Amino acid sequence: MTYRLVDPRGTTSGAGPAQLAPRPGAIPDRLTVGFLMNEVSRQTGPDFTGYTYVIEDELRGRHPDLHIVRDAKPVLSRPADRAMLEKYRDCRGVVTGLAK
Amino acid sequence: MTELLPAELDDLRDWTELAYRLRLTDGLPVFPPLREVVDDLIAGSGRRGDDLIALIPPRDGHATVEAIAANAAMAGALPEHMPVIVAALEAMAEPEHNLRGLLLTTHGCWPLVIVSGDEVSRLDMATSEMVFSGAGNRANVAIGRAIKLVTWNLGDTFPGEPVKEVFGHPGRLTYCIAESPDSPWEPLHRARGVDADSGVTVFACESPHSVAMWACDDEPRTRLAQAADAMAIRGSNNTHTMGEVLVVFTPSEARHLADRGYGRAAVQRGLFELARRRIGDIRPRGPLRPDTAPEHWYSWWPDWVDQSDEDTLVPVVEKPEDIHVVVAGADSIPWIAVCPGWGHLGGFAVTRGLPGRGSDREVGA
Repeated sequence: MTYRLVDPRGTTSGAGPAQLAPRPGAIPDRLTVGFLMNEVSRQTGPDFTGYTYVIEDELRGRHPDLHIVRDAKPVLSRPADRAMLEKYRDCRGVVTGLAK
Repeated sequence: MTELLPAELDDLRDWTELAYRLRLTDGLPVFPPLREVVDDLIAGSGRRGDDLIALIPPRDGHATVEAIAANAAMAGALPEHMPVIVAALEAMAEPEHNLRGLLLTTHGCWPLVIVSGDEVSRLDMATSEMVFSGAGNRANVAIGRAIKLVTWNLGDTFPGEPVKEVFGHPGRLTYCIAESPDSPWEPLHRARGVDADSGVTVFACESPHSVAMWACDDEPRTRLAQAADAMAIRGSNNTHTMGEVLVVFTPSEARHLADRGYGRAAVQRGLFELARRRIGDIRPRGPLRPDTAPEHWYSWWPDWVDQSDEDTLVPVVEKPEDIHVVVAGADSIPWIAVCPGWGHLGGFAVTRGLPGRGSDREVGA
Protein backbone atom coordinates (compact mmCIF):
# COMPACT_ATOMS: atom_id res chain seq x y z
CA MET A 1 0.00 0.00 0.00
CA THR A 2 1.20 3.51 -0.78
CA TYR A 3 0.55 6.41 1.54
CA ARG A 4 0.34 9.92 0.09
CA LEU A 5 1.85 12.70 2.21
CA VAL A 6 1.38 16.48 2.39
CA ASP A 7 4.48 18.49 3.25
CA PRO A 8 3.79 20.60 6.38
CA ARG A 9 6.34 23.17 5.17
CA GLY A 10 4.01 24.21 2.40
CA THR A 11 5.99 22.64 -0.44
CA THR A 12 5.59 19.38 -2.32
CA SER A 13 8.19 17.19 -3.97
CA GLY A 14 6.32 17.63 -7.24
CA ALA A 15 7.06 21.34 -7.20
CA GLY A 16 10.81 20.78 -7.35
CA PRO A 17 13.40 22.46 -5.18
CA ALA A 18 12.76 26.01 -4.09
CA GLN A 19 14.72 28.44 -6.21
CA LEU A 20 16.77 31.08 -4.50
CA ALA A 21 16.31 34.61 -5.73
CA PRO A 22 18.76 35.47 -8.55
CA ARG A 23 22.03 36.88 -7.27
CA PRO A 24 22.80 40.44 -8.26
CA GLY A 25 25.36 40.93 -10.98
CA ALA A 26 28.15 43.44 -10.80
CA ILE A 27 27.61 46.10 -8.16
CA PRO A 28 27.26 49.52 -9.82
CA ASP A 29 29.58 52.41 -8.97
CA ARG A 30 26.75 54.36 -7.40
CA LEU A 31 25.79 52.27 -4.38
CA THR A 32 23.22 52.89 -1.64
CA VAL A 33 23.34 50.68 1.42
CA GLY A 34 21.04 50.82 4.44
CA PHE A 35 21.64 50.05 8.09
CA LEU A 36 18.65 49.60 10.36
CA MET A 37 19.45 49.46 14.05
CA ASN A 38 17.26 48.19 16.85
CA GLU A 39 16.39 50.79 19.47
CA VAL A 40 19.87 52.28 20.01
CA SER A 41 19.24 53.55 23.53
CA ARG A 42 18.57 50.02 24.77
CA GLN A 43 21.48 48.19 23.18
CA THR A 44 22.98 45.89 25.75
CA GLY A 45 24.94 43.53 23.53
CA PRO A 46 27.70 44.13 20.99
CA ASP A 47 27.63 47.61 19.52
CA PHE A 48 25.84 47.06 16.23
CA THR A 49 25.81 50.78 15.47
CA GLY A 50 29.60 50.85 15.68
CA TYR A 51 29.76 47.75 13.52
CA THR A 52 27.80 49.50 10.77
CA TYR A 53 30.50 52.20 10.62
CA VAL A 54 33.12 49.48 10.17
CA ILE A 55 31.12 48.05 7.26
CA GLU A 56 30.68 51.54 5.82
CA ASP A 57 34.45 52.13 5.86
CA GLU A 58 35.04 48.82 4.10
CA LEU A 59 32.46 49.58 1.42
CA ARG A 60 33.67 53.13 0.91
CA GLY A 61 37.14 51.83 0.13
CA ARG A 62 35.64 49.82 -2.75
CA HIS A 63 32.86 52.18 -3.79
CA PRO A 64 33.78 55.84 -3.47
CA ASP A 65 30.31 56.89 -4.62
CA LEU A 66 28.65 55.28 -1.63
CA HIS A 67 25.45 56.56 -0.08
CA ILE A 68 24.37 55.33 3.34
CA VAL A 69 20.90 55.28 4.91
CA ARG A 70 21.08 54.73 8.64
CA ASP A 71 18.24 54.75 11.17
CA ALA A 72 17.08 53.09 14.38
CA LYS A 73 13.68 51.67 15.22
CA PRO A 74 11.88 53.38 18.13
CA VAL A 75 11.14 50.04 19.81
CA LEU A 76 13.46 47.10 19.36
CA SER A 77 10.93 44.30 18.96
CA ARG A 78 8.40 46.06 16.78
CA PRO A 79 8.74 45.98 13.00
CA ALA A 80 9.88 49.16 11.28
CA ASP A 81 6.87 51.17 10.18
CA ARG A 82 6.08 51.96 6.57
CA ALA A 83 7.50 55.48 6.65
CA MET A 84 10.82 54.20 7.95
CA LEU A 85 10.96 51.43 5.35
CA GLU A 86 10.30 53.98 2.62
CA LYS A 87 13.67 55.61 3.37
CA TYR A 88 15.35 52.34 2.37
CA ARG A 89 13.50 51.95 -0.92
CA ASP A 90 16.51 52.73 -3.14
CA CYS A 91 19.02 50.64 -1.18
CA ARG A 92 20.90 47.87 -2.91
CA GLY A 93 20.88 46.02 0.39
CA VAL A 94 19.90 46.65 3.99
CA VAL A 95 21.78 45.30 7.01
CA THR A 96 19.79 44.90 10.22
CA GLY A 97 20.84 43.97 13.71
CA LEU A 98 19.02 40.95 15.08
CA ALA A 99 20.12 40.93 18.70
CA LYS A 100 19.66 43.63 21.29
CA MET B 1 19.24 22.58 0.19
CA THR B 2 16.18 21.54 2.12
CA GLU B 3 15.37 17.87 1.65
CA LEU B 4 11.90 17.51 0.23
CA LEU B 5 9.24 15.33 1.73
CA PRO B 6 8.47 12.47 -0.66
CA ALA B 7 4.98 12.65 -2.05
CA GLU B 8 4.39 9.02 -1.13
CA LEU B 9 5.53 6.57 1.48
CA ASP B 10 5.42 2.79 1.01
CA ASP B 11 5.94 1.82 4.62
CA LEU B 12 4.50 3.86 7.49
CA ARG B 13 7.25 2.54 9.75
CA ASP B 14 9.62 4.87 7.86
CA TRP B 15 7.66 7.98 8.86
CA THR B 16 9.11 8.60 12.31
CA GLU B 17 12.74 8.62 11.16
CA LEU B 18 11.81 10.68 8.12
CA ALA B 19 10.09 13.29 10.30
CA TYR B 20 13.14 13.66 12.52
CA ARG B 21 15.61 13.69 9.62
CA LEU B 22 13.67 16.41 7.80
CA ARG B 23 13.25 18.33 11.07
CA LEU B 24 9.48 18.35 10.69
CA THR B 25 9.08 18.07 14.45
CA ASP B 26 10.43 19.96 17.44
CA GLY B 27 11.30 16.69 19.14
CA LEU B 28 7.98 15.15 20.03
CA PRO B 29 6.71 12.34 17.80
CA VAL B 30 4.20 13.41 15.15
CA PHE B 31 1.61 11.66 13.04
CA PRO B 32 2.18 11.42 9.26
CA PRO B 33 0.30 14.12 7.32
CA LEU B 34 -1.60 11.67 5.14
CA ARG B 35 -3.41 13.24 2.16
CA GLU B 36 -6.78 11.76 3.12
CA VAL B 37 -6.48 13.01 6.71
CA VAL B 38 -5.40 16.46 5.52
CA ASP B 39 -8.36 16.62 3.15
CA ASP B 40 -10.73 15.78 6.00
CA LEU B 41 -9.17 18.54 8.10
CA ILE B 42 -9.51 21.05 5.27
CA ALA B 43 -13.18 20.11 4.99
CA GLY B 44 -13.56 20.54 8.74
CA SER B 45 -12.22 24.08 8.52
CA GLY B 46 -15.04 25.17 6.24
CA ARG B 47 -12.44 26.99 4.14
CA ARG B 48 -10.69 26.40 0.82
CA GLY B 49 -7.37 24.61 0.98
CA ASP B 50 -5.58 27.45 -0.79
CA ASP B 51 -6.98 30.19 1.47
CA LEU B 52 -3.94 32.01 2.85
CA ILE B 53 -4.49 32.55 6.57
CA ALA B 54 -1.16 34.01 7.64
CA LEU B 55 2.48 34.45 6.79
CA ILE B 56 4.51 32.79 9.49
CA PRO B 57 7.71 34.67 10.38
CA PRO B 58 10.61 34.68 10.09
CA ARG B 59 10.53 32.58 6.89
CA ASP B 60 7.14 34.03 6.02
CA GLY B 61 5.94 30.58 5.03
CA HIS B 62 2.47 30.61 3.55
CA ALA B 63 0.03 29.24 6.11
CA THR B 64 -2.66 28.15 3.68
CA VAL B 65 -5.48 26.09 5.09
CA GLU B 66 -3.88 23.05 3.46
CA ALA B 67 -0.49 23.68 5.09
CA ILE B 68 -2.20 24.32 8.43
CA ALA B 69 -4.16 21.08 7.99
CA ALA B 70 -0.95 19.16 7.32
CA ASN B 71 0.49 20.39 10.62
CA ALA B 72 -2.81 19.77 12.38
CA ALA B 73 -2.72 16.20 11.07
CA MET B 74 0.75 15.79 12.56
CA ALA B 75 -0.62 17.14 15.85
CA GLY B 76 -3.44 14.60 15.91
CA ALA B 77 -6.17 17.18 15.46
CA LEU B 78 -9.71 16.31 14.37
CA PRO B 79 -11.68 18.14 11.65
CA GLU B 80 -13.85 19.84 14.28
CA HIS B 81 -10.71 21.40 15.82
CA MET B 82 -9.81 23.21 12.61
CA PRO B 83 -12.04 26.31 12.99
CA VAL B 84 -10.38 27.01 16.34
CA ILE B 85 -6.87 26.47 14.93
CA VAL B 86 -7.53 28.70 11.92
CA ALA B 87 -9.15 31.42 14.03
CA ALA B 88 -6.20 31.37 16.43
CA LEU B 89 -3.72 31.76 13.58
CA GLU B 90 -5.75 34.59 12.08
CA ALA B 91 -5.65 36.32 15.44
CA MET B 92 -1.91 35.74 15.78
CA ALA B 93 -1.37 37.38 12.39
CA GLU B 94 -2.91 40.67 13.53
CA PRO B 95 -0.33 43.48 13.83
CA GLU B 96 -0.91 44.08 17.55
CA HIS B 97 0.14 40.51 18.27
CA ASN B 98 3.52 41.25 16.62
CA LEU B 99 4.12 37.63 15.69
CA ARG B 100 7.48 38.32 14.06
CA GLY B 101 8.95 39.85 17.19
CA LEU B 102 7.21 37.35 19.41
CA LEU B 103 8.61 34.30 17.63
CA LEU B 104 12.16 35.66 17.67
CA THR B 105 12.45 37.43 21.00
CA THR B 106 14.81 36.49 23.82
CA HIS B 107 11.84 36.66 26.21
CA GLY B 108 10.09 33.48 27.33
CA CYS B 109 6.54 34.07 26.15
CA TRP B 110 4.36 32.09 23.77
CA PRO B 111 0.85 32.59 22.33
CA LEU B 112 -1.65 31.03 24.70
CA VAL B 113 -4.86 29.96 22.94
CA ILE B 114 -7.93 30.48 25.13
CA VAL B 115 -11.19 28.94 23.91
CA SER B 116 -14.37 30.29 25.50
CA GLY B 117 -18.11 29.82 25.14
CA ASP B 118 -20.15 26.96 23.76
CA GLU B 119 -17.28 25.53 21.74
CA VAL B 120 -15.61 24.39 24.96
CA SER B 121 -18.31 21.80 25.64
CA ARG B 122 -18.88 21.11 21.93
CA LEU B 123 -15.25 20.00 21.60
CA ASP B 124 -15.31 18.36 25.05
CA MET B 125 -12.32 20.46 26.10
CA ALA B 126 -10.73 20.19 29.52
CA THR B 127 -11.07 23.22 31.79
CA SER B 128 -10.11 21.93 35.22
CA GLU B 129 -7.22 19.90 36.66
CA MET B 130 -3.93 20.36 34.77
CA VAL B 131 -5.59 22.75 32.32
CA PHE B 132 -2.32 24.50 31.51
CA SER B 133 -0.64 21.25 30.50
CA GLY B 134 -3.36 19.83 28.30
CA ALA B 135 -5.13 17.82 30.98
CA GLY B 136 -4.83 14.68 28.88
CA ASN B 137 -7.44 16.11 26.56
CA ARG B 138 -7.10 15.61 22.81
CA ALA B 139 -8.65 18.93 21.78
CA ASN B 140 -6.60 21.04 24.21
CA VAL B 141 -3.33 19.37 23.27
CA ALA B 142 -3.91 19.02 19.54
CA ILE B 143 -5.02 22.63 19.04
CA GLY B 144 -1.99 24.01 20.86
CA ARG B 145 0.26 21.48 19.20
CA ALA B 146 -0.98 22.39 15.72
CA ILE B 147 -0.22 26.06 16.39
CA LYS B 148 3.29 25.13 17.46
CA LEU B 149 3.95 22.93 14.44
CA VAL B 150 2.68 25.62 12.07
CA THR B 151 5.22 28.08 13.49
CA TRP B 152 7.92 25.40 13.39
CA ASN B 153 7.40 24.14 9.86
CA LEU B 154 6.21 27.30 8.13
CA GLY B 155 8.23 29.83 10.10
CA ASP B 156 11.43 27.83 10.69
CA THR B 157 11.36 28.90 14.33
CA PHE B 158 14.34 26.81 15.29
CA PRO B 159 16.40 27.40 18.45
CA GLY B 160 19.56 29.44 18.09
CA GLU B 161 19.10 30.36 14.47
CA PRO B 162 16.90 32.28 14.22
CA VAL B 163 15.09 32.10 17.57
CA LYS B 164 17.01 33.73 20.42
CA GLU B 165 14.65 32.86 23.28
CA VAL B 166 17.01 32.47 26.22
CA PHE B 167 15.26 29.84 28.34
CA GLY B 168 12.36 28.68 26.20
CA HIS B 169 8.86 28.04 27.47
CA PRO B 170 7.16 24.70 28.22
CA GLY B 171 4.13 26.05 26.37
CA ARG B 172 6.10 26.04 23.14
CA LEU B 173 5.17 22.37 22.92
CA THR B 174 1.46 23.09 23.29
CA TYR B 175 -0.28 26.03 25.01
CA CYS B 176 -4.06 25.97 24.89
CA ILE B 177 -6.64 26.26 27.65
CA ALA B 178 -10.41 26.43 27.72
CA GLU B 179 -12.44 28.69 29.95
CA SER B 180 -14.57 26.99 32.56
CA PRO B 181 -18.33 26.83 31.92
CA ASP B 182 -18.68 27.24 35.69
CA SER B 183 -17.45 30.82 35.59
CA PRO B 184 -19.76 33.29 37.34
CA TRP B 185 -18.81 35.87 34.71
CA GLU B 186 -19.57 36.13 31.01
CA PRO B 187 -17.22 34.27 28.64
CA LEU B 188 -13.91 35.95 27.87
CA HIS B 189 -14.71 36.69 24.23
CA ARG B 190 -17.96 38.45 25.16
CA ALA B 191 -16.20 40.49 27.82
CA ARG B 192 -13.83 41.58 25.05
CA GLY B 193 -16.68 42.71 22.84
CA VAL B 194 -17.17 39.75 20.50
CA ASP B 195 -20.87 38.96 20.15
CA ALA B 196 -20.70 35.24 19.39
CA ASP B 197 -21.52 31.98 21.10
CA SER B 198 -17.85 31.02 21.10
CA GLY B 199 -14.53 32.74 20.72
CA VAL B 200 -10.81 32.24 20.53
CA THR B 201 -8.36 34.61 22.20
CA VAL B 202 -4.60 34.49 21.73
CA PHE B 203 -2.31 36.22 24.22
CA ALA B 204 1.44 35.80 24.40
CA CYS B 205 2.48 35.17 27.97
CA GLU B 206 4.90 33.43 30.26
CA SER B 207 4.15 30.18 32.03
CA PRO B 208 1.62 30.45 34.86
CA HIS B 209 2.98 31.73 38.19
CA SER B 210 1.12 30.01 40.99
CA VAL B 211 -0.56 32.17 43.64
CA ALA B 212 -1.97 30.34 46.64
CA MET B 213 -4.23 32.06 49.13
CA TRP B 214 -1.76 31.84 52.01
CA ALA B 215 -2.67 34.10 54.92
CA CYS B 216 -5.66 35.59 53.10
CA ASP B 217 -8.97 36.35 54.76
CA ASP B 218 -12.26 36.46 52.84
CA GLU B 219 -11.89 40.12 51.92
CA PRO B 220 -11.68 40.44 48.11
CA ARG B 221 -9.06 43.21 48.22
CA THR B 222 -6.80 41.02 50.33
CA ARG B 223 -7.10 38.18 47.84
CA LEU B 224 -6.60 40.39 44.82
CA ALA B 225 -3.52 41.83 46.51
CA GLN B 226 -2.11 38.30 46.65
CA ALA B 227 -2.29 38.10 42.85
CA ALA B 228 -1.18 41.70 42.42
CA ASP B 229 2.05 40.94 44.24
CA ALA B 230 2.87 38.24 41.66
CA MET B 231 1.96 40.62 38.83
CA ALA B 232 4.41 43.28 39.96
CA ILE B 233 7.63 41.36 40.50
CA ARG B 234 10.73 43.47 39.97
CA GLY B 235 12.18 41.71 36.93
CA SER B 236 8.95 41.47 34.96
CA ASN B 237 8.58 43.15 31.57
CA ASN B 238 5.18 44.35 32.75
CA THR B 239 6.64 46.08 35.78
CA HIS B 240 9.05 48.04 33.60
CA THR B 241 7.13 48.45 30.34
CA MET B 242 3.45 47.74 31.13
CA GLY B 243 1.70 45.85 28.30
CA GLU B 244 -0.85 43.20 29.25
CA VAL B 245 -1.21 40.44 31.88
CA LEU B 246 -3.37 37.33 32.17
CA VAL B 247 -4.81 36.37 35.56
CA VAL B 248 -6.60 33.03 35.83
CA PHE B 249 -8.97 32.33 38.73
CA THR B 250 -10.20 28.91 39.70
CA PRO B 251 -14.03 28.64 39.58
CA SER B 252 -14.23 28.56 43.37
CA GLU B 253 -12.14 31.73 43.74
CA ALA B 254 -14.13 33.46 40.99
CA ARG B 255 -17.38 32.57 42.77
CA HIS B 256 -15.91 33.82 46.06
CA LEU B 257 -15.30 37.20 44.44
CA ALA B 258 -18.58 37.24 42.51
CA ASP B 259 -20.55 36.44 45.67
CA ARG B 260 -19.06 39.58 47.19
CA GLY B 261 -20.10 41.80 44.32
CA TYR B 262 -17.03 41.57 42.14
CA GLY B 263 -17.72 41.30 38.43
CA ARG B 264 -14.90 40.87 35.94
CA ALA B 265 -14.51 44.63 35.51
CA ALA B 266 -14.28 45.15 39.28
CA VAL B 267 -11.60 42.49 39.48
CA GLN B 268 -9.68 44.23 36.70
CA ARG B 269 -9.98 47.58 38.47
CA GLY B 270 -8.91 46.10 41.78
CA LEU B 271 -5.85 44.45 40.28
CA PHE B 272 -5.00 47.64 38.40
CA GLU B 273 -5.03 49.60 41.64
CA LEU B 274 -3.04 47.01 43.58
CA ALA B 275 -0.44 45.71 41.09
CA ARG B 276 2.02 48.59 41.31
CA ARG B 277 5.64 49.17 42.18
CA ARG B 278 7.33 52.23 43.62
CA ILE B 279 9.79 53.68 41.11
CA GLY B 280 12.48 53.91 43.75
CA ASP B 281 12.21 50.16 44.37
CA ILE B 282 12.68 49.05 40.77
CA ARG B 283 15.78 50.99 39.85
CA PRO B 284 18.72 49.30 41.55
CA ARG B 285 21.59 50.25 39.21
CA GLY B 286 22.67 50.12 35.59
CA PRO B 287 21.76 52.02 32.45
CA LEU B 288 18.31 50.45 31.93
CA ARG B 289 16.36 51.68 34.91
CA PRO B 290 13.68 54.19 35.69
CA ASP B 291 15.11 57.18 37.45
CA THR B 292 14.00 60.61 38.64
CA ALA B 293 16.59 62.18 36.32
CA PRO B 294 14.74 62.98 33.07
CA GLU B 295 17.45 61.45 30.89
CA HIS B 296 16.65 58.07 32.48
CA TRP B 297 12.86 58.28 32.26
CA TYR B 298 11.18 55.42 30.50
CA SER B 299 9.92 56.92 27.23
CA TRP B 300 7.26 54.21 26.90
CA TRP B 301 5.45 54.99 30.16
CA PRO B 302 2.42 57.26 29.73
CA ASP B 303 2.71 60.94 30.62
CA TRP B 304 0.53 60.56 33.71
CA VAL B 305 3.26 58.55 35.43
CA ASP B 306 5.22 61.08 37.49
CA GLN B 307 8.74 59.83 36.94
CA SER B 308 10.26 62.75 38.81
CA ASP B 309 9.13 61.25 42.13
CA GLU B 310 10.68 57.99 43.27
CA ASP B 311 7.63 57.36 45.48
CA THR B 312 5.33 57.19 42.47
CA LEU B 313 3.50 53.87 42.34
CA VAL B 314 3.53 52.65 38.74
CA PRO B 315 0.89 50.12 37.60
CA VAL B 316 1.96 47.08 35.59
CA VAL B 317 -0.51 47.93 32.81
CA GLU B 318 -1.78 51.16 31.35
CA LYS B 319 -5.47 50.49 31.97
CA PRO B 320 -7.61 47.89 33.79
CA GLU B 321 -8.78 46.29 30.52
CA ASP B 322 -5.19 45.24 29.85
CA ILE B 323 -5.57 42.70 32.65
CA HIS B 324 -7.22 39.66 31.08
CA VAL B 325 -9.32 37.75 33.59
CA VAL B 326 -10.14 34.10 32.82
CA VAL B 327 -11.74 31.33 34.88
CA ALA B 328 -10.15 27.89 34.59
CA GLY B 329 -8.49 25.22 36.70
CA ALA B 330 -9.80 22.69 39.16
CA ASP B 331 -13.02 23.59 40.90
CA SER B 332 -11.61 22.67 44.28
CA ILE B 333 -9.55 24.93 46.50
CA PRO B 334 -9.28 28.61 45.57
CA TRP B 335 -6.18 29.44 43.57
CA ILE B 336 -4.93 32.05 41.12
CA ALA B 337 -2.39 31.88 38.30
CA VAL B 338 -0.62 34.94 36.90
CA CYS B 339 0.82 34.86 33.37
CA PRO B 340 2.92 37.96 32.71
CA GLY B 341 3.01 39.20 29.14
CA TRP B 342 5.83 40.32 26.92
CA GLY B 343 5.44 43.88 28.12
CA HIS B 344 4.78 46.80 25.80
CA LEU B 345 6.53 45.03 22.93
CA GLY B 346 3.54 43.09 21.65
CA GLY B 347 1.91 39.71 21.96
CA PHE B 348 -1.25 41.63 22.86
CA ALA B 349 -4.52 39.75 23.13
CA VAL B 350 -6.60 39.36 20.00
CA THR B 351 -10.03 37.71 20.05
CA ARG B 352 -11.96 36.20 17.17
CA GLY B 353 -15.47 34.83 17.16
CA LEU B 354 -15.72 31.38 15.68
CA PRO B 355 -17.22 31.45 12.17
CA GLY B 356 -20.69 30.04 11.85
CA ARG B 357 -21.20 30.37 15.57
CA GLY B 358 -22.43 33.96 15.72
CA SER B 359 -20.49 37.06 14.72
CA ASP B 360 -16.86 36.65 13.67
CA ARG B 361 -15.97 40.21 14.60
CA GLU B 362 -12.39 40.67 15.62
CA VAL B 363 -11.23 42.53 18.69
CA GLY B 364 -7.65 43.57 19.21
CA ALA B 365 -5.78 44.98 22.13
